[in-house]
Amino acid sequence: MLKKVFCTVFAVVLALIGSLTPVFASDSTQSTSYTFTYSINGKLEIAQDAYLPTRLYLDLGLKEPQDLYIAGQKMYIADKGNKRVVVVNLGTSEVETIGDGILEEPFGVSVDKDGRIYVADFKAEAVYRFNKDGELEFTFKKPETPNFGKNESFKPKKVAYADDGGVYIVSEGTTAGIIHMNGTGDFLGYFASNEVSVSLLQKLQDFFLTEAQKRAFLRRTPPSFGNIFRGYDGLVYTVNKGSNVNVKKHSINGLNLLKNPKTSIKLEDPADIFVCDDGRIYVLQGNGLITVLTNEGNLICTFGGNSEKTDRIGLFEVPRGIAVDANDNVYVLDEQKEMIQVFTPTPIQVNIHKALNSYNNGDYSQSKQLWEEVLKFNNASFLSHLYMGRIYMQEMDYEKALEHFKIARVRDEYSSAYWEIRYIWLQQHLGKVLVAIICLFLIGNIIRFVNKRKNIFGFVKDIENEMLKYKLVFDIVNLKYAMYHPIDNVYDVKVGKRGSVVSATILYIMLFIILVLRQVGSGFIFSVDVAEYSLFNTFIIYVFMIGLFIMCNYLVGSIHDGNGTVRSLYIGTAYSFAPAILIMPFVILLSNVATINEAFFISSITSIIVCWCGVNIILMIMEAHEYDFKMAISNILTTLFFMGVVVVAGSMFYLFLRQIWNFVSELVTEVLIRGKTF
Amino acid sequence: MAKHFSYILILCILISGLVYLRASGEDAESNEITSAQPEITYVNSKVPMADPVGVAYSVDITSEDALIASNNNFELYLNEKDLIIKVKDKSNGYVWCSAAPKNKMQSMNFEWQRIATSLLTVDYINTSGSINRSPLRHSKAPAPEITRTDNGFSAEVEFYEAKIALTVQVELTDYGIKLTIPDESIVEKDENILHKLYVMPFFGAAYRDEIPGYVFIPDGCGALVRFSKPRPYISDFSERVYGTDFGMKRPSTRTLLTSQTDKMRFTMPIFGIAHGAKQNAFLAVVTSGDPYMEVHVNPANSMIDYTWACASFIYREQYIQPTSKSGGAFTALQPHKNSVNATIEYIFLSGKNADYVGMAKAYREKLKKDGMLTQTVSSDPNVRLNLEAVMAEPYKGFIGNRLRIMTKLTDIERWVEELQHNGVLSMSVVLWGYEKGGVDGHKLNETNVDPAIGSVNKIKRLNDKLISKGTELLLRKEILSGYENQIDKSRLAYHIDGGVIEKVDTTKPMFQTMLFQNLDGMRAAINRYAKYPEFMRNIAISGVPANLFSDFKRNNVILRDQTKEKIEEILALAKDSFNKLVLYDPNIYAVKYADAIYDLPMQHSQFAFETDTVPFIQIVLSGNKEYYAPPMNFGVNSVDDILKLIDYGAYPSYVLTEEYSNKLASTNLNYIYSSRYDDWKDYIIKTYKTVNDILSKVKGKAIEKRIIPVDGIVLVEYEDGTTILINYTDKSWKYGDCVVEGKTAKIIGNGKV
Repeated sequence: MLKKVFCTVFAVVLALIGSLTPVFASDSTQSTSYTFTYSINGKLEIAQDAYLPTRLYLDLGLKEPQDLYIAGQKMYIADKGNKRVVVVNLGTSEVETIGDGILEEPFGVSVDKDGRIYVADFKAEAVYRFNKDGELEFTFKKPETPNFGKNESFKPKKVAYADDGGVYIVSEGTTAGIIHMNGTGDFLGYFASNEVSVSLLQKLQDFFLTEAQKRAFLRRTPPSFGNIFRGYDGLVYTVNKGSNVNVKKHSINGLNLLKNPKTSIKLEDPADIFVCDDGRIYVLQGNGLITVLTNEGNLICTFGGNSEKTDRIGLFEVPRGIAVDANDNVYVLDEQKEMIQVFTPTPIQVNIHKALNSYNNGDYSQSKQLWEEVLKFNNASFLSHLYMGRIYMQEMDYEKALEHFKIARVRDEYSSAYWEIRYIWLQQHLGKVLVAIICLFLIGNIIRFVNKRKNIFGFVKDIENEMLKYKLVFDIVNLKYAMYHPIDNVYDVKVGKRGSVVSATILYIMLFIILVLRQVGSGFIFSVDVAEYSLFNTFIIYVFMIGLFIMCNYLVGSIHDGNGTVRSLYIGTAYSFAPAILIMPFVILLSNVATINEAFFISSITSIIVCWCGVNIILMIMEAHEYDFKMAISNILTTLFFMGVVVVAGSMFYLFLRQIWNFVSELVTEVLIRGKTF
Repeated sequence: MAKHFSYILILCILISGLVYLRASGEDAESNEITSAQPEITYVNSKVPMADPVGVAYSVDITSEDALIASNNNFELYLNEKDLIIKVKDKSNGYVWCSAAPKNKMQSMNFEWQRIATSLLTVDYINTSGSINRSPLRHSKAPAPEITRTDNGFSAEVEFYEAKIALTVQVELTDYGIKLTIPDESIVEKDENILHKLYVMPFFGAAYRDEIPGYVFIPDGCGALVRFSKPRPYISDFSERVYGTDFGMKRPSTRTLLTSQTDKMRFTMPIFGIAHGAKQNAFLAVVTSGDPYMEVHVNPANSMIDYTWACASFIYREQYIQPTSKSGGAFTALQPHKNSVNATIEYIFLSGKNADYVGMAKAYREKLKKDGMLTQTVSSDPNVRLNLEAVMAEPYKGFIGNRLRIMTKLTDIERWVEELQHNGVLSMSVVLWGYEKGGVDGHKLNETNVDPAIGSVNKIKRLNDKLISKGTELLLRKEILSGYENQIDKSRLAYHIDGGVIEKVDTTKPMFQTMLFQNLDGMRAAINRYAKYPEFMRNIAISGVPANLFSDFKRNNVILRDQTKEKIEEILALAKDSFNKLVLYDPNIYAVKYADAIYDLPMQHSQFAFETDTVPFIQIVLSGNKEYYAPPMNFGVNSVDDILKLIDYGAYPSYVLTEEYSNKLASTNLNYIYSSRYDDWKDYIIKTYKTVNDILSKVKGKAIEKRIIPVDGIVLVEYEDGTTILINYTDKSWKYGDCVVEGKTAKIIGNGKV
């Protein structure tokens, strides 16, 4: 039932001060905060200013304002302290107020396509709908229906319009989801509930605790919604409260449509969210950072920040609301500074927006032109390379697409471009390749056949035999034997027939080289980033792990009547890695021509190699210590445990020494300084 | 034509006056009814705003004010009881007063009422270490002992709460007044210690928006704080002249990518206040004690509805003495007292000169008279373009650090040829990071050329080639600071807490800790470069002219005022040893040693109350030094950038590389996100032509006037009468019979303002 209330509308037309149409200009100078964007090295790097703070609304007389909304030419401010909504006409510079005498604590404001204004009032526990002239039309009160829940509180903080005059309400303390009501105030249900994520510890708790204990200890509530926005595409966007959250774009049934790509950004305590008509998402964080995302959730840029108790513009103390006008100017409301700051996009940012839009509209040639311009001014921009790659994919110029995807390090899209290139290559050359393989096969067989008869390649065999007389060469070539006959091999090592410390060391070096190649020499899709890779660290870890394993195993073995010596373990372990040394190079080569489609193949061969090595190690230990299988397993487990103990004890000892050193040095410094000062 | 303009101007003034009256009338009304009537006025810091209009009415001379001294221009009055100074400008009878009028102080609390009527105020540190404030005015304070002198008076005063006594001397001069507080007169009678002394805080203060006008502060290139009614500012503002003293206060560690950018420095020991439109103004110049000077500005806010500005001097500070790496620390008191012979000269201006341009001209004349500004303008008739070439920079390789070559000497030859071919007539090419190790990897005492970049012979060849084309070659040298691997550890500068001065930025990918050399290190560096062959002795020095700090090395303490003298010695040595010396963003005391100036700021720190950006330092230097703007790569590449160059008379600069700048990602130069020559070539040519067409006509001439009749339209007149109109707006602007298209600049003739 409509409650009878009165509503007053003030329309204060002010003197025309200065020019009415704001002049937008930008400065060659920088802003007060750096603009960051994802760089091709996968990090946030400084980029050309995206937005510059250009204007300030200092004289609006706001008091603890809470929310900001822009619809068309009008800007709406939830002016909590003054219990009203201030409406600023950006075109005509007229100011009026809405809801005087009705509103008690307006926290959120939203405006639908028909110009109806929705205000969430925290204290009055109501959401008001005003018509476009500012007259109260309807009051949404706490739903009485049983499906809302009798004990649920109704404390509206933020609001978004729903269809036909209905509302989506973010209510404080309501964890079930967003309250969805229709235009006549009926509760339609909860929209887009958050899920509770359960950690491992919590799973254990679930397992052990009784129902009563669970009720007493575990209060697992899903994360609560922080803010909501209804885009003009009809979709609902939300952000949760708290840190490390993402923007969610909800389909009609509440599911999140945004996959979180590599270059999305984790948000800290988001305060407000605004979505442009073309789907660009603006998020304002509690620390003052403004994040701009593409419609897919890729980061375009971040700027802004905390003003650290100064009056510098472009920075905030307690930012509350963000909105974007038709010219892409960003308006930000600050509760503590009680003013609105306006940011204007720089030419380069305008180009990025245009380029995104034309790509999304399928105008690839224009988009390409614009991205090329963007690249001129920031040729480390991830986004530009990503879109350039995509455009070349559309134009079926896969080589160029590959180049851009490689620079941007997007492995999946690189993989699809590579797939196309490989496909084309195979189509062109498959015949020749097959012929070549058949020829090689034939030639090989002919040689073998001739050789059997005439023995023309006998000298090769002779050289081989000659070489094998050298113990070192024999020991290394022995790798193949060790791979298939690990038990016999270890026995031979023990009795001194095969292997030596020198050859084992060479094998370890080979293994290390293969390990490094596996990481940096694999195909682009499977390798790690060289710039992030430290050869030194890898080496240290490698030597430390192998050394520790052999030492611990020897010590554990000597307690448990093992017969292995350090020498036999050292050599035996080296031979155990034979499968890795012999097969891995082929995997590495293969990975250079594989795409993500074949990733399964690569990873399964790698797993087989690892298992093979593992089995070899177990067999090696059985033979070296003369254990049965059970003993060998227990020996390995004990060794691993012992290794852990050594690491923990070592680091504790180090920390202890450092503490003592710090204590002594601080003591001495303080005595010296105090002696000097007084 | 001039007639037309004056009509327009009068009309503008009339309309604005009406608007102003209406606005102020409304204002008074709204004050009575409710305090929260929203208004849509906004401040736009990016478009030049029209000059203020209107008349300021001054206070009167009363029977309590005794005439102390008088000359042709001014009369000095003193209220002996309350120690209030009034200065009457005889040219138009305007009276400047050191105290706020009694009837307009109701809104302030009692302490602020005392400050507003005190000639001096001190901050003192009491025995428990806390800082308190003691204005001179106190009902129980002993009466000042006043002695009349030839042209003024001297007063012995004591601050009641602080128990600190001192003598203040005021003298009437031809240009205004001179106020001196001799260091030896300061007596700390109790255990309280003098921390800071504020001189005439409310001299020229303005009540709300009662009078049109502004405060000028030397923030960056110069900023105006227009008088306004109280606005919701959250902080008071003060800034140390010549930047922070890193020897007393460590540079803050940057750990978050998202921290705000550095503020601009105050490079000149001055501030000014203007009352009324081209009516009355003063410029305060600190001629002694400037290394310890601070400028304070308080825009009218919810606490104090006056806009006031003053200078203060720091006599002794507290500092944080860390005792452990984990954060243990205590607050300690600086053991020595700074020797500050504070002298402030107030230069009064009236009529046409009573604005920031007048202040800048007065300062220019003063600097010239004191020998602090000399004229060094090249004979080249064209504007010079500054190209700074990044040669090499270390990056993290597969094994250890490697050097990435960004530009070779032969590339630069090609650039110069191409640019010259396309109409860039004069250039100044700077090599940055040509030494072994690159920009952030070379040892500071390294003088050899990295073989991958070229050789000394190749530099000679490039130099010969450039000289034959009327262009010059310079070497960029940073001799103040470097990363750990660059710097000689035996010549470091020390903080008062005993540790070395370091600036840590954990967000940098390669090197994080920057250390600073002491003065010996800098001097040694200059001597080393003096041994370079002739053609390599054109040197551009960064760091030294922009930093001033004390060095607390044990047994060799050098305080900030001494550092200033020694830096001047070092720069004098450099000037004698080099063919050409260029300085990056210098403090004003270093300017006279420079043949040209790079990186001269083009903006201020962007505080909400800084309503206008003005080319103050540019006006001071114009006609005497060639000055270049910071690299245009870091702008947003809009037409406004170019218009601003023309407006400020600054020459364009670019940082360039031959290679793609994405190769600088993951290096310490990661802030150079766009520098590839091929990307920038067309813009450089276009910008140069636009700027050269106009600025070459006024080369070597000083700026005489700068007026802004309406928002976005700027008129700059040079000493020979050449007038440039800069139209920042989108629409064309008719000036007399001359039409200037939107977003363009044009010389509109002679003496048109």
